Amino acid sequence: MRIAYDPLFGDLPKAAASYALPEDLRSIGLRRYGGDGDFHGWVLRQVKKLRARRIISIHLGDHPNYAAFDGRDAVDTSLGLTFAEGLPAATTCGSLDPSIPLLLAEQGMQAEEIERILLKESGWLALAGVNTLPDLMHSAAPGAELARGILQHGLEQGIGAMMAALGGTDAIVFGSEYLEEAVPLARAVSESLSFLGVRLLPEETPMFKVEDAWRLTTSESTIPIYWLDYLI
Amino acid sequence: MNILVFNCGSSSLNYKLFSGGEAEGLRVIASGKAHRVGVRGSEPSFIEHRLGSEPVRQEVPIENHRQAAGLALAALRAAGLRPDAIGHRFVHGGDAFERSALLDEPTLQRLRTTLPLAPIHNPNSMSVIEVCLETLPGLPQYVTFDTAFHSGLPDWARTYSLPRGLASEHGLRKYGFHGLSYQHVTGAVARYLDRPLSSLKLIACHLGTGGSSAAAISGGQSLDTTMGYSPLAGLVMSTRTGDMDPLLPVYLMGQWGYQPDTLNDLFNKKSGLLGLSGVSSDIRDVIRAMDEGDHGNARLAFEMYTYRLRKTIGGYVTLLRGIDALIFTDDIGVQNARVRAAACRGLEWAGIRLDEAANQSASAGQIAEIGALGSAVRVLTVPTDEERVIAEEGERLFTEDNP
Repeated sequence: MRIAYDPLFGDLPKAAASYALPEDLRSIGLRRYGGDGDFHGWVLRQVKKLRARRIISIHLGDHPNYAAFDGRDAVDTSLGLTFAEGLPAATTCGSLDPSIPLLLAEQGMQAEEIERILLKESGWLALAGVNTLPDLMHSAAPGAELARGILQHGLEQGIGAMMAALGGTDAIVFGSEYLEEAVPLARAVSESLSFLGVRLLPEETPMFKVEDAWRLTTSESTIPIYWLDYLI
Repeated sequence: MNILVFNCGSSSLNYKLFSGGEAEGLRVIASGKAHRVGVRGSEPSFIEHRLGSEPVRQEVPIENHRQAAGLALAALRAAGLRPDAIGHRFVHGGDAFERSALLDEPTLQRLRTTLPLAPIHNPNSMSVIEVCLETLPGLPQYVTFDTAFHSGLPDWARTYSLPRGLASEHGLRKYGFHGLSYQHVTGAVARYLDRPLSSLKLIACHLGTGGSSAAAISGGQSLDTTMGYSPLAGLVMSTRTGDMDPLLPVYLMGQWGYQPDTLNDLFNKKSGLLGLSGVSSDIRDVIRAMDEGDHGNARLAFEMYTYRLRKTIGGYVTLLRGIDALIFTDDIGVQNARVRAAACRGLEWAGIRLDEAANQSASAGQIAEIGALGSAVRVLTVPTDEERVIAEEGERLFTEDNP
């Protein structure tokens, strides 16, 4: 099981870091640790010169996830105790009704088997038979449209949740190692924010570079949205 | 037409007799509630009847819902009140029911398949149906479902990203609950705003003393909701955890040797506000403890309860691409100004701004407007009335042509 303390999320506010469990269970380390700190830490460094305070950072990789920062401080993130929480991803299930693993155990499944299913046999693999973001975006398999819909709506909802956590946002930053497939997804998600006054540059217009980030939005946009090529 | 409605709680039974078919709509002509049904404790169980001018309290041991319903039917008969039809509430209709249904033999058989889906609630409702069939044979009955309101959830909202065989074998998908309440408050808000429901984008927060959930509702259709396969998912509740990492229970079973039934009990009955605060499952006690200087667990409980609600509202605002109104309902929703104020904090970007004084003084008994002047979103407290929705469903079923 992947439980790793990520220093970037070490000081999450308690309301974001805790599960609503009795104290004896919280005290054995059952909390939200976050993750993907390499990516989000890199985003924070890249956008430093933009002087945005409340930042929503979104990684459109094979394990899509997002995090909210107030200055350098992490305020919340979609990843929890493990990488299984949050958005469904390549092979992980994403947030589920906690009754479900209990029901599977009551049906006689062992913990190791449930863990294997939720971590290795779920997500895009289960719905569409693919396990990378580019394959998901290109796939015509039955279930691929559904998996893309779950991802896009999960991102839209996640942005609203992070805006609630921050009390609004000064910049939304998408980044990925997959330029070709992830930029259209970032644009589609951003498009859904037009009710807030977000204005995207037309698709045919080349993005323009502001400091080290590419800007996806016009100068009139109420919220600037940026793209970063994540070259590992 | 007189419609008798039974509404089973886990340890209570509400009944209301509505007189319908009149110009002014449905009117309650008798009602009652059985308390502490099946509860063995120091305080006795009792049933209260409101059949005439004076309420009558009957203190008797009430072992189960079947017996409570029998007492209600006997009291109505003694008062000379005879229903023409009886409506029931089922918490979970599963895949078998996407809408209310008249009770006939095939419906009864399908109802039995739903019993394991809500093992605490559904069998109670079934026992009440049985006692009605025995006591008033031939009287038309029908069933309504808390899940029916969410039966049109889009695929992206209802699907868990699990292996398909496993999901279909166990019926693992998001069902959603509190549907009768959502149906009532959204209808009431459309009438209050004098706009067709089909034109409204709404977020409703049903904050109960037991369970709580929220729903994103577009044109009267549920677009997403926080409860899932079971009522454990979603918001932090009085004694339920709400959402958590799906591997957390697996970890507790695998590494710590917990049994699934122990965890079911722990997550459903000992967590939430109770588990966090260590003080009480009642949000009012939690707030009191926090105000009296408990800056540890009671504060964490209040902050988590309201923070998770705030994040849910924000997420539903972006899913709906802006909303017309935000609704607070059920006991905590209409009574607790502190919860509402904290839930709306930091949502100015979404057009949500509270009027502090209006929020403080909102009456729990009627629709109250608590948004600030100039708030783009109407913010409303709306008392819910599940029994009335059950009666309305009956009127609809009996006036429709049912082949």
